[in-house]
Amino acid sequence: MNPGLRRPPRGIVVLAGIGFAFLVVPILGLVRQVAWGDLGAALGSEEAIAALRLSLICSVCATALSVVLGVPLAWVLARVEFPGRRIVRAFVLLPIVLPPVVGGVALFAAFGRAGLLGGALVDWFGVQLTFSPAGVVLAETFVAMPFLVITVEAALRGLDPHLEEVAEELGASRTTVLRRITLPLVAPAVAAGAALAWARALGEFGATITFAGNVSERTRTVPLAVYLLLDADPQVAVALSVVLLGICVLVLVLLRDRWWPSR
Amino acid sequence: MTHGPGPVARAALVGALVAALLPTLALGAPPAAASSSTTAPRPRTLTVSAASSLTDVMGRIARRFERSHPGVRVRLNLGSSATLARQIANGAPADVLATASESSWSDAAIAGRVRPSGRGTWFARNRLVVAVRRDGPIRLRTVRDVRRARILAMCVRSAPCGGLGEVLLRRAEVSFPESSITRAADARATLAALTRGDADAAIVYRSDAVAAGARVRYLDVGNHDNVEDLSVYSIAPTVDAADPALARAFVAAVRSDWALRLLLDAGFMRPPGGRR
Repeated sequence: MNPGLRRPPRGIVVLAGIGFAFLVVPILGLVRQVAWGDLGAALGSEEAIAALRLSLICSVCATALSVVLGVPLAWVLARVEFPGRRIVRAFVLLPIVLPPVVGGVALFAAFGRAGLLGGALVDWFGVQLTFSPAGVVLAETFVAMPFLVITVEAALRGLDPHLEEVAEELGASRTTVLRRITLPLVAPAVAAGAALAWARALGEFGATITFAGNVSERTRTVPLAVYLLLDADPQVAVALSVVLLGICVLVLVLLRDRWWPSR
Repeated sequence: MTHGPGPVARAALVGALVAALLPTLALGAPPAAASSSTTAPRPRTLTVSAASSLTDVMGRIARRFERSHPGVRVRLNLGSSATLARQIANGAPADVLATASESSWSDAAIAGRVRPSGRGTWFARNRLVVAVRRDGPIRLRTVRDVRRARILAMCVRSAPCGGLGEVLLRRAEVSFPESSITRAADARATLAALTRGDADAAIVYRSDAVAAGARVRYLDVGNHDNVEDLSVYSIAPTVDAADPALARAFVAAVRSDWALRLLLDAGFMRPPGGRR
């Protein structure tokens, strides 16, 4: 081992320590605020149960939608050469860096009643997405799907092309290759991407409140409830925050092999 | 043990050092500016936490106050009255608190940030109206027409406009399913759900409807002599205002005749006469 690594420069260690403390202290502060004895009662309140149920349903739907649309998108980005592919990828990644509230405004411009498509949806099908659970799913999918796409695309690019070539030489059709070789090989990446997308969907706030509003039992997800209950019922807000925190820790544990290599 | 407490203590030291240096870096003004500050009065900042329904009018009052007090910058912190009180109780910096109700002041009073009485000075009143978009599907003849809205925008119950809204609906004997109400964090966010969002109707302050201008039509409702139907706006300097004289001067400005004219123009009503 390089001796320089055993005794790292003090300045770096100190800055690293400050950086770590900066990330950890707020979490400790949150956990300290929890009235553990009343946690059950706080989470058992009608408001909390409704928010948790809605969040669970919408985030799972958003994750499913992300998988159904995102895996093909990742495959095209990884495997098909076409002009403007880099631009397409940039658009796919944009929601990751876009402020979610801007995402909400953009969704409005597309699916609001006066939007590009929203007017037609209302006039022709009587479907209004704004202020509806479907609108929550849309907002969550918009911010979450890119995480799945980049994860799966990276896995597809890292695949050994020989496996698929050999299968084709042995006479397998392209769909068989996709179904029997490619997809099973990237399945762990799909699972990881889905977990990531799910966590992102679950935490979505800005796009949701902008596009879907804050309707009890219909669009008031856990993050919205946390924000709006801070004034009215801080104990429930903190309890719900802790639930989100716990779920995020769980996702990290599930993804530990990808992000925490054992070395 | 050689790696035990040592680095921790050093981290604390460097942390303190960084904390001490940061303000100097932020204020690292060029020497020219520093020398000019000896002649001109040092810029002073007054932080005013104001209810979101006061957004435009408090901005106008602040600009005029700045003109008559050279070197003073008024910084507005806008939000629901309940949120502002919570922020102040939690130690948020504020020199003046101006809200649509005093009901949330007890928390701030407990935290010792406003007078122990938990009361300020009245400077305006406001009433709720039912508003619809001008180009929207609903024509308002009576308050009961609000029932035709598929989505109604209201304030959260913790905000004064939310509590009053409940009273308004009850008085009008309109029962609106909670599953068709979108609750916004404060008065202005509620207005936005109507003007920029897809809500068909909103229960907002008259001043919000006035601020929205030609985009909305509104219907005055309720008995305006009834105190329960009105928000009474209160203002007070915080106990720990950085510059108490300046904070008091701002409160006096908000209660002045010219400020009252601005408030009336913006759709507010005169404060209750009498004791305060």
